[in-house]
Amino acid sequence: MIYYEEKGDGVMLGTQFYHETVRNIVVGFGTIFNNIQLVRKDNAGVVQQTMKVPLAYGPRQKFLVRLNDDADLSKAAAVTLPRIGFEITGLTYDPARKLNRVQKFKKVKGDTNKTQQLDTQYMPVPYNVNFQLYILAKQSDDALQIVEQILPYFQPDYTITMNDNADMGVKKDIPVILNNINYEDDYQGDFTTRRAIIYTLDFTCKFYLYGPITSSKVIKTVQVDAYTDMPDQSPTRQQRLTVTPNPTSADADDDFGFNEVTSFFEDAKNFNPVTGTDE
Amino acid sequence: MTTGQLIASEQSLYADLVAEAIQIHGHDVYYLDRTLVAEDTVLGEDALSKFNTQSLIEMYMEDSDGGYAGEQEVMTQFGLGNLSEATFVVSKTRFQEKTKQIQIEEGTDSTSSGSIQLESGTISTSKLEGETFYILNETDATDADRPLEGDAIYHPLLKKLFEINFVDHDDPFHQLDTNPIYKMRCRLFDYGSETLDTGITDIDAIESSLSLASSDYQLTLEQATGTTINQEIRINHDISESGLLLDETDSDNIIGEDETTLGGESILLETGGDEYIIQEDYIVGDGVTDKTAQNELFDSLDDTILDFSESNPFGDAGSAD
Repeated sequence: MIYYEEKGDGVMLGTQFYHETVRNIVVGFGTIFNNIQLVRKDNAGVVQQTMKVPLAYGPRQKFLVRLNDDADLSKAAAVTLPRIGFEITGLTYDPARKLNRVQKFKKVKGDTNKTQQLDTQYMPVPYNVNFQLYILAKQSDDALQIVEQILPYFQPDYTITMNDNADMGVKKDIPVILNNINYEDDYQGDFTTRRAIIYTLDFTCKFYLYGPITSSKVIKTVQVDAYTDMPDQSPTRQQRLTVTPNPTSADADDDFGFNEVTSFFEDAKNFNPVTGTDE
Repeated sequence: MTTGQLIASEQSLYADLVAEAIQIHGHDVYYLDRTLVAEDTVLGEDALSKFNTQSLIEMYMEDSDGGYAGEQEVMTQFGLGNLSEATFVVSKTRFQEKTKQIQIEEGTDSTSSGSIQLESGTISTSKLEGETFYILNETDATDADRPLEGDAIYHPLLKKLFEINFVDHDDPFHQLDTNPIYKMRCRLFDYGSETLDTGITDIDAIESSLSLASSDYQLTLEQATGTTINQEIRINHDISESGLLLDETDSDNIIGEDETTLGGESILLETGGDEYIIQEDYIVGDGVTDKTAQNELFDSLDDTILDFSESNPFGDAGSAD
């Protein structure tokens, strides 16, 4: 079936679209680390405490952090440990995964309210997003427990499958690659200096960024007028070939055939595409 | 009067004056002793430290240009941090008096509390003097009877818990050949789910509000008393069938453990081991009740973001529900 683009749906800068891809990557990345448990044992090896390590995306509005954490100024301690924080540190284009830029995804009935339409989207652009994951602990053993529960899953990558473009029904495997690990322990110095045990893990997520989706209506009629002279002789149409789908209610993903009708004219009229009539 | 006697007299006067000045200008704070529970001698730390005792004592808080020293409230990648620092000054004499006190346990519900027990034998009256008997304190205080690094100070007015990082014992530097104070360099406590069981409501509430330990939220089945039965799991024992959560015959996920010796034991998950039911109150970062983290928030959001139609042989991140 042949489609045409609606006016104004051209793929150009300025067309509003937002697939929340990076936001979803943040959620996906955070989910990997959101259920890390640690235990504390006494000297007899009996578990005395079990806890889930709190995790949060680091960059946030300062006033919200203050209000969420200590609105009534009653927080008695400096910070609750252990904790995991992470943040985006950069985005880079990944030329190794470049796709054919003129190919398109196509999806029929992407919007249930507009059944007779075809959604198309050009191939996504490969990007790498870098994350840093910080593990802050009060005791070395806590930090080591957390780190040792993370590292075995990354060899050096761990892959999550994301519905990274739900509008088009596209799923992608997103490898999350562990690049390196830094360790900081300020145990030296005078006694008043705070000791902070921080492991910093560098990750790269290989994902794709998607452009705008173009919606096209389904073409229900194709009409070709044939002439017997050149345009400079101001000819009128002599023959018309009209093709319609059968059944006419068919959509792009339906099983359908065609009705072809050939008409002949001697009325010296031409088709006016503006009014849609012969004049 | 010899020079030595003169100096000793002035030293005593000096110490008394300092103690009085601290009582006038200072605040009553709680001094919390740290009890080591499971010292890791390899890594040199104790994650299970407890603070079970408290002692009310006056301390002077040194002013640092109009408030706390240190960076105070800061935003970090871990959220809100409060790096406030403070120096507490305590009279050496007053502190050592506290360390010589003997605290009688309260309560009368067990043989180990509510009374003072001799280790063995009987009291020999020949050792008692006079008609009124006292419990003798330990002998004279020594330099070991001092505030210890790692102990904590709770300031009830500020509602802050401080950890002692360093005890400065020679500032001011031995005037009159003595030093009547300890200066404790403190910072706000980095709380790592330590047990705070001091009997002071405000202090113990810190653990309730900040502890991450899920073991504080676990349910166990009530112990039976002498009967040999399989116990049903009920919301409320007084309600008959309506309170029944799971029947013993269900062979479902939760079963009452079979009787072993005396009465039922913990509610166990079928996988056995040391597993417990955790109350729903244990919430870590759901974005509603607890906004300081995002664990459960991510777990909820990932339902539509991650694809769970196929499982990852190396382990799945998140869950579909």
